[in-house]
Amino acid sequence: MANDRKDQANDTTLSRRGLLKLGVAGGSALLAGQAVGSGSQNSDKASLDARIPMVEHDDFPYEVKPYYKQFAPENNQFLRDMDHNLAKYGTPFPAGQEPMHALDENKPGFRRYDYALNLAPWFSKNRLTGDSQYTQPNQGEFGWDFETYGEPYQFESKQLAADVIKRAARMYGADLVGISRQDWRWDYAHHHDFVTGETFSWEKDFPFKPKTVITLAFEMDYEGLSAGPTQTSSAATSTGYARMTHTTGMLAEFIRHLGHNAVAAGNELGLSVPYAIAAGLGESSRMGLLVTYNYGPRVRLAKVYTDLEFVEYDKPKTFGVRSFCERCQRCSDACPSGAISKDTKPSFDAPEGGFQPFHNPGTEKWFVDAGKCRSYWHESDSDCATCITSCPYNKPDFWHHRMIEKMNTFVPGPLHTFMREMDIWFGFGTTFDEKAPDRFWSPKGRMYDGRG
Amino acid sequence: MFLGIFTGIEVLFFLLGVMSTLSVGLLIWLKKQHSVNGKALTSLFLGLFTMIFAIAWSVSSVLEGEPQAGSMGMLVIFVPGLILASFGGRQAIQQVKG
Repeated sequence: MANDRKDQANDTTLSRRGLLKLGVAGGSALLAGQAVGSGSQNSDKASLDARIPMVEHDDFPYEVKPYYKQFAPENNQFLRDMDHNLAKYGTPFPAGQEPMHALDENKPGFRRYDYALNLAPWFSKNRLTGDSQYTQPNQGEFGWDFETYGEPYQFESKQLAADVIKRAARMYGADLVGISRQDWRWDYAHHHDFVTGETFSWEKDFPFKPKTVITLAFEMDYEGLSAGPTQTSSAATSTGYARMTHTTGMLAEFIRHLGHNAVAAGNELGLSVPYAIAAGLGESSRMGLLVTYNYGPRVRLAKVYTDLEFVEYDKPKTFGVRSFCERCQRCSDACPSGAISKDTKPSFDAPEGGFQPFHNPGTEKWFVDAGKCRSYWHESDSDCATCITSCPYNKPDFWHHRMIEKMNTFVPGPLHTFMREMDIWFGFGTTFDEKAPDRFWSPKGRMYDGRG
Repeated sequence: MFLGIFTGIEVLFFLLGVMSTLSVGLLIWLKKQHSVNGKALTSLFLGLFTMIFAIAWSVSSVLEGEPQAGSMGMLVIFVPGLILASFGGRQAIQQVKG
C-alpha cells in the first residue's frame, strides 16, 4: 500500500482530470493573489492564511518613516484640552459645557438614568485605576509596584505559553487577545504625571524591561452605541473602560503568579492601536481607530506589558479595511465636528492646517483632528463615537455580516462604493436617531429572567 | 422563541434546512419524473436559492434588531429570486403539462 502511494506520488503524468484540478487550483491562486493585492500594502511579504481572505504579514503592515518619533503622552488631546480649559476657564471644561450640562428629562439619551448608566462604570473604573484614561501612569490595578510570585515558570513551548495566556485573558473577560513583541515605536517616549507634572523614564522608573505586549480588545454594546451621540452611547464606552480595568488587572496578576513581571495598562504606556495591529487584532482605518474582524471599530483596547519573552507572537493581519476606507468615507461624512480626513488615500503628508502635537507623523495614515473631536464631546456632553456607529464594519456578530466582510476583500474597489450605499439603504450606521435610546431601554424582545 | 428552548437563529437555520431539502427534492422530482430541461431547472434552482437566501438575510436582520435591513433584503434579494423562480417554474409547468 505504501509503495502504491509512492508510485502515485512519483507518477508525473498529467491526466485530463489532473489538468482540470490544475485549472481550478490556478484559478484559486489567482483569486488569492487578488486578495493579497487588495488587502495588503506589503503584498510581497504577505502569506495567505488558511482562512481566506485574511492575510498575514511578517512585519508591521504599514510603512513607518525613519523620521518617526515616539509619541509623548502630554501631547494627548485629553491633556492638552484639559490644560487649555484650566488656563482659560479655571476648570477642566469649557464654560457652560461642564458635565451634565445637557441633562433633560424629556430628551432621550440625556435623562437622569442615561447619565447614571454612563457614570457608574466610570466611577467603578476610576476607583480601580484613577485617571488612567488620560494616560496617567502607575494607577491602582495598573500600578507598577506589584510583586511576582516564585521562580519564573518555563513553558514547554512558545505556543503553549501563548495558548495559556490567551485562554486566561478570554476567561477574564477579553473578547480578542493578541501577543506582539515590545516595539519602541509604539511605546510612549516617557511617562507623564499630569497632576504633579513629573516625567518618568522607561529605563530608570519602570520596574522592568518589557519584552512582550499582550493586547486585549473588548466589544462595546452595539445597541448602546447606536443611540449616539448621547449618554446612552457613552455608557458603551465607559463600560468598556471598566471591563478593561478588571480583565487586564487579572491577566497581569496571572502572569505575575507565573513568576514574570507584568504591568497592565489602558491608554497609558503606549499606543494601543499599532500594538493591536502588530498583535493581529485588526487594521487601521480612516477614523484612526482599530477595525477588528469580528466587531469592526466597536472595541476598546488595553495592554499588558511583560518581560515574559518565551511566547509565540502573533502576526499582523489585514483583510481589506484600508481599501474599503478609501471609497467609503461614511465616518468622515457622519462626523459632526468634521474631524476626520476626507482624503482618498492615507499619506504621510500634513493635513490641512499642518501637523498638530497630537498627530504623531511618520506613519502612513489618515490624520484625524483630535482637537475638533474633543471639542464636540464637550459640546454634545457625550463621548460621541458617531464614527464608530456609522462605520460599515460596525455590525452585530451575525453570519451575514461576516459574509459581506469576506466579500469586501475580494470585490474590486467600485463595488465598495456600491456596498457603502447599500449599507445606508439597509438602514445600518444611523446616527443622531432620537428613537434609538428608547429602543436601547425597551424590554421588547428581551427577557431578563433567563428565558430569552 | 420556539418551544422556549431554541433561539431565533437556531429555528431559522432549521427551517432553512427544511426549505433547501424541499427545493432540492422538487428539482430532482422534476428532472427524474418529468424530464424538465436544464434551462428551466437552472432558473428554478437559482430563483429558489436566492429566495431562501433572502429569507435567511431578512429574518437574521430582524433578529439582530435591524428591521429596515430585513425589509430591504426582501425587496433587493427576494424579488429577483421570485422573478427567476417564476420564469423557471412557468417553463417547468409547461413541460410537465406538455
